[in-house]
Amino acid sequence: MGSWQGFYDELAHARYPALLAYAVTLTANRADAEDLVHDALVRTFSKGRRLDNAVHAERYVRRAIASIYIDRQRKRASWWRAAPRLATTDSVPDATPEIDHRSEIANALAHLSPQVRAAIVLHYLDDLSVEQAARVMHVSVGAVKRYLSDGRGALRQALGASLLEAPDTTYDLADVVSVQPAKARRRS
Amino acid sequence: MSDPIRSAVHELFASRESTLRGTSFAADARARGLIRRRRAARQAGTIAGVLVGVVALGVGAMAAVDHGTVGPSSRPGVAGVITLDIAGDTTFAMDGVLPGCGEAAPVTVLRSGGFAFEPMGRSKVTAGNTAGSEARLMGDVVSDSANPVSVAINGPAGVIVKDGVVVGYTSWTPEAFATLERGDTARVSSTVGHTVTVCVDGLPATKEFLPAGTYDIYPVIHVIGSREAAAWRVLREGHALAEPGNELLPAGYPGSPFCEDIIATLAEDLRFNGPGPGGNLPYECTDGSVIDISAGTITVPYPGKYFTGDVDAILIGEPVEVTLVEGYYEN
Repeated sequence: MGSWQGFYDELAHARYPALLAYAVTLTANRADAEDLVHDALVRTFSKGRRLDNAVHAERYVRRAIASIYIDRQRKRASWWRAAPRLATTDSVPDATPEIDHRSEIANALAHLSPQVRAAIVLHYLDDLSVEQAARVMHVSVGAVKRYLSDGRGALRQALGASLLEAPDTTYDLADVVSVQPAKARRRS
Repeated sequence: MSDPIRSAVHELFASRESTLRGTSFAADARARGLIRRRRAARQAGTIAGVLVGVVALGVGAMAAVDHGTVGPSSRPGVAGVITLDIAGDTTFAMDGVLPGCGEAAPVTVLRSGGFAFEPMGRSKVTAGNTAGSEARLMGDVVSDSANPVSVAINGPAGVIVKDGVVVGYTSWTPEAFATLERGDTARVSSTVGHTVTVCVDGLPATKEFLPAGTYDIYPVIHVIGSREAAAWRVLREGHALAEPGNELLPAGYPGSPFCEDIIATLAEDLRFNGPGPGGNLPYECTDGSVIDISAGTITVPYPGKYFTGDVDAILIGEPVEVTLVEGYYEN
């Protein structure tokens, strides 16, 4: 077994919940998070880079998760540049149950824009400085400061409201076309 | 760790990790397979070489069609072949469909191009800026055509109007695809809330608040039938890429992780290893489609059932009076 497979096994099994939790925090969406972890593992281990240990490898994978997520959001925004307001329509709040103020935080995070959420995760969870987060996100330091300012505002509000009744987060995001045949329509 | 936000985010992460404990990596085998193949290809320097075999077919297909034009196809069931710009704009963008910032409110058009829009819901709603309190624009697009019509339906986008002037836009649904016969309906809806683009100084702006108040929101739907739409419908339906000699991989539309990943891998090889003897490495897909990395294009054969004729219909519903009870913001 090559050395990559040992580290891969460690991450794909023992550390998978942690990687998934990280990706869910970043995406606010379980399905997207699963895809991200998959893609980050593939990206990390497909390259012949030297990985010293599992901790080192996990750091690589987490950074790959963040990078892929940011790249993907950027591409999506570019692709739909005539539709910037689509930014969060695919961001379904995670169904993972939380208790006490965590639900408010999770809800608040889920409704941040992808860029703001990425900045919050990189700065507060990965403990990156503003400058480091800016490098990862390929944006200016000022932009990260702005994202963090926006994110902090929303999260402070959520923390402040933690003793209040939790809002309903099960709203319908099924913005899809469903076709009803004419015959069925006539019957109804 | 005294910062309450830092603590809360860490707590949330720990809670999620705990909740997810025991979750297994469902895509483990697929990931391993991909990693093995890519490592093997890198080590042997074969990605470029393997793809040389498909260059002839790829170049042939690319040569047969100019960007955005149609080529004939002898494949059974395939009506034509079209090249799409992967990295570029789509034919489905609302550019030119929605009135600009500061322009007059749109005029209601409930019938156009063989389609009608039948709005649903109340004429007056109140919407908040929290989850669950959004309003929805909803209605049915009804076909008046005697024959099946394959279309992409984009919207409804909400044009926000105050005092007869466009002041912003709500989010809209990316195109969905449907084949409609006479009387068939396609239910469309989108959410009014959370993500609002606000006009500032005559231009759509980000991070600006739309003040609480009462606005008229016009639902706008773009119904499109085109060869491009047919090709995207093919892609959305689970297009498959074949790595030569390996299993099929789901791929397809912009944003598809597999399609992007494969393109990214090949592009990276191009950057570091330079073009192989085959040049710019068109990548063949199972159904005869070709991804050309350097050109940023994908050439897609599409079936006749997905291109039933050109349609370009803009439907605009009656305005819905929406009272925003909180400050709205562009997200």
